[in-house]
Amino acid sequence: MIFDETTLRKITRLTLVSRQVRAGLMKGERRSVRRGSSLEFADYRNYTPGDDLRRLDWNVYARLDRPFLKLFEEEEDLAVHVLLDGSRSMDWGEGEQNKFGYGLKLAGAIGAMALAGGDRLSVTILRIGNNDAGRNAPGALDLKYGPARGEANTLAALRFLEGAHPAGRTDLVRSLKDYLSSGQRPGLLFLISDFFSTGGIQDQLNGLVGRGYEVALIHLLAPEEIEPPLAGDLRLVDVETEEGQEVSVDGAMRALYRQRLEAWRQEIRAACQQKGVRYLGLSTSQPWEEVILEELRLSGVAR
Amino acid sequence: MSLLAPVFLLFGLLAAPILLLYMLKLRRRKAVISSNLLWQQILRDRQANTPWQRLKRNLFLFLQLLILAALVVALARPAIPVPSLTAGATVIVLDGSASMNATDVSPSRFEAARSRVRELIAGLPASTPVTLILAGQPARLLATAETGRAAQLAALQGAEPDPGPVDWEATFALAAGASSATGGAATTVIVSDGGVAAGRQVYLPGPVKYLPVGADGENLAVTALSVRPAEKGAQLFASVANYGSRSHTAILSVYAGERLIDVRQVSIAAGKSQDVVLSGLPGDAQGYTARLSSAQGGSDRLDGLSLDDAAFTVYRPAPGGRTLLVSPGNLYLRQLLESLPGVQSFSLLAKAGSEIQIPKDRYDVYVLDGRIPREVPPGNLLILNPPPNPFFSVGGTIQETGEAKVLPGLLTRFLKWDDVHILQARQVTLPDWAEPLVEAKGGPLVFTGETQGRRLAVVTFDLHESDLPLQVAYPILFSNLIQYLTHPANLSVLNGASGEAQLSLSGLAGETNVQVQPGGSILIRPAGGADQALVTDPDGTTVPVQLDQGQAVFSATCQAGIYTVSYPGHADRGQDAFAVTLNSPDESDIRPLGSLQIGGNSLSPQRETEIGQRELWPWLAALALVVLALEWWLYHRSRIFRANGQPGRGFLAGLRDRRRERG
Repeated sequence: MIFDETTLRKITRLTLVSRQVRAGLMKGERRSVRRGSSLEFADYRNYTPGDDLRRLDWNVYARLDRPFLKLFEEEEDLAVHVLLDGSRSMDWGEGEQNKFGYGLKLAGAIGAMALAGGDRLSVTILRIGNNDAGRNAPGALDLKYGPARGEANTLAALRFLEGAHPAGRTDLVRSLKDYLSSGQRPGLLFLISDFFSTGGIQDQLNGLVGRGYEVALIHLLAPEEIEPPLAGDLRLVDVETEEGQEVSVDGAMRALYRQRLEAWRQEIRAACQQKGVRYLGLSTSQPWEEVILEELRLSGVAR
Repeated sequence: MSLLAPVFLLFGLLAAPILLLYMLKLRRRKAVISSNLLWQQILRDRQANTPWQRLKRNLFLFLQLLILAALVVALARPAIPVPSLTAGATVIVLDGSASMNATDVSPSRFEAARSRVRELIAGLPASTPVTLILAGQPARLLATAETGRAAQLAALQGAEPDPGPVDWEATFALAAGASSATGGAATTVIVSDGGVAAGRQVYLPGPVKYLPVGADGENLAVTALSVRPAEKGAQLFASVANYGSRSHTAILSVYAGERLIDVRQVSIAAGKSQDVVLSGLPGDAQGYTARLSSAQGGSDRLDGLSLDDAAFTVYRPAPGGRTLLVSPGNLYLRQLLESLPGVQSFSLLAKAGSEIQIPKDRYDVYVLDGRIPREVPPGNLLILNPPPNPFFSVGGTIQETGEAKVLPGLLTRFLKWDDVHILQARQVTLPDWAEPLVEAKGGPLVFTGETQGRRLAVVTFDLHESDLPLQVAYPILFSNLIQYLTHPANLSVLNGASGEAQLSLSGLAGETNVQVQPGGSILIRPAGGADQALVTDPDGTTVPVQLDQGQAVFSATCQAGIYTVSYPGHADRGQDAFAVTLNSPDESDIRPLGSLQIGGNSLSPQRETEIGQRELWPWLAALALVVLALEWWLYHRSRIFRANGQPGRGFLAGLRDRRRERG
């Protein structure tokens, strides 16, 4: 398990918040754009095993000694998409501070919240790499889970995440494009990545937002990436692309790096604000529970 | 500023290979990171990937280029113009006399003079030939027309002052020679405290300049010390002079050997002297010392010059010169012998045809006038008008006694023979062991020598057959001969210039008082001969001296004090002694002179009127060395930090960490 029962219970008390009311496919806990209200009674029907006990009309059961489920006006499920960057650059950081591990925990927590809330959860680990034919194809190494619905799937979702490991490269632009084109139902989309990817993601954000996705970017960076422990004449090798970059690192160079990093984060943040996308810039040195239980609530993603 | 060897700037091109090596030298460590994305953006901004940018901030490269620049500029020999005393070929005469040991300027006048000369050399244009002469005993040529600055300074560094007076004649002769060698164009610079005795007739070609040293002339000196026999025991005479401008009080201690025999306080006004006479001394000590010390006691410095604060003398009363005159009657001789000081004269009348009865008492000298006893008594002999004898062969008479020639020597000093007329003399073939003193055409008239363990002096004519007793030569010749026979001087002072041994006048008075100034020479010529002498200096160090033909010159007299001389294998002769003492008013008068009298010219201290060049290369070389050391240090520090796994830490941060760890 990527986290224990106690943490899971704490997490499932939270509910993901969508700023929009959407049309769902299945009856859920969220209001539909269709007429009516969830408080408005519609009908009764017989209880069948597996139904949510909270919807049992206890008064009728007391009177008739038979279980009936109360049916209200349509409440619909919410499609929750969790996209986790699974490239090798994410496999960075020691122990608890490893970005991929951290991202898995966040993805697991969000997934657990979504399933507990009766939402429709899809989890995708985005990886680009050589496929069996040896060709570099987007999505070739993607790992997918879902869509799934119902709290009963929580364990399966967490197991899926537990089995994931980083590989290959990231090309977020292509990956998102592919994801959009795969005909997913728009909903709440969490993109967890370090965004070390060439090409701007602004256009793709446009595409996502334009199709009705409500996007939250979770930007992960390891402490070593925020304050690199480098000095001297170095040949920096990119773990993903294995390309070398010669650079002489000294105090001034490190200062430049810090400036550049801050500016880069600011660019992403500004692009998000412009598109109405939630942005959460995190260092993996921050305890992940704190992020789930506090940061997500503060940023309005959960409540 | 000018460059004396600008061609060496071409070595600056070596910077190119250094840069090239540096670019090649950049061996980069491989470091795997999660993404190059941001670094690429930074480098794109800075265009930092070009070699020049990469080199720009390399501290070691900067230090190496700095070292190269310093060395190249040093090779080009930059020089700045400075005022200088001379500009061309220079002959430097450095005073190394005893007075230059004065400490009125710290650490001493000689060191001050050395630094003045160093400054003078430093201010000379490069490649200027410099001749360096140390006025000493003897004068020494330290560098001859040397053009290398390092060799000039090394020669200067090796110079040391002498403890005695110096040979100015030889010094000026050397200086004149060195100056003439440059065609008379050389400037002679005399660096001195003015202790060059005035009025010397010297000729120095070319201009002569004077660099004075010394500040203060306060000095007390023991200027005289002697001991002579008196009616009761020995009498000591000492004189203390004050050469300063203030009156001084000091303690005068007199020692006989190691024993203190008198201490008294002497107060002497400026420019005055005070005599001290001590009578009734036992006279058993061989050496006497008079020493001045500060009246405040302790280690207080008495005056500027300590060399003359002590004087030394030796005293050995001669055994009484007992002479026995054996003569048929010679008034001239009897009167002369009775009048000689220190000589006890006895006479024996030897009538013609009678046996000569020599008394059993021992005499030092037997004066045999025309008669030889059958048994010649042991002792030295003065034979006049010699009859046949066992020492040399005697022939008939010679008439050719005119045009006599006096051979120069110790015993014939001041002897004038021109007015002496001799009727006839005995014909004597000069034996091997003898040296003639006066020689006539027909044969020797006076000769001396040693044979069969005794000294002989022979006058080959009868005094009655000459007018010698009426001439001035008579007492001179006979006192010298009696001196030679009665008191054989084992030691005598050599006059350095001519190498001629001097008999001290006091020697004729019956005592031996051999004194020499530091650096002077002593002739060791023991009567009776010896193969070796042992000289013990005041420190107690004994030096064997090999005698060649019975004599040797001893010159290792740098140290003032009493020296003793003994003869191994001749214990019966006892010890001789001589004193080395400064005793030089010229050296004790250490007042620095504002002007110098040289060859009738008065030389005033000179100002720097010429333009010299001070080279800056030593500073640049030193800078290169310092930067090299700094680079080495930084390199090792950076390696240590890298080894400690702190690659990201700055150098100063590393130092701070280390201090924290110690704290």
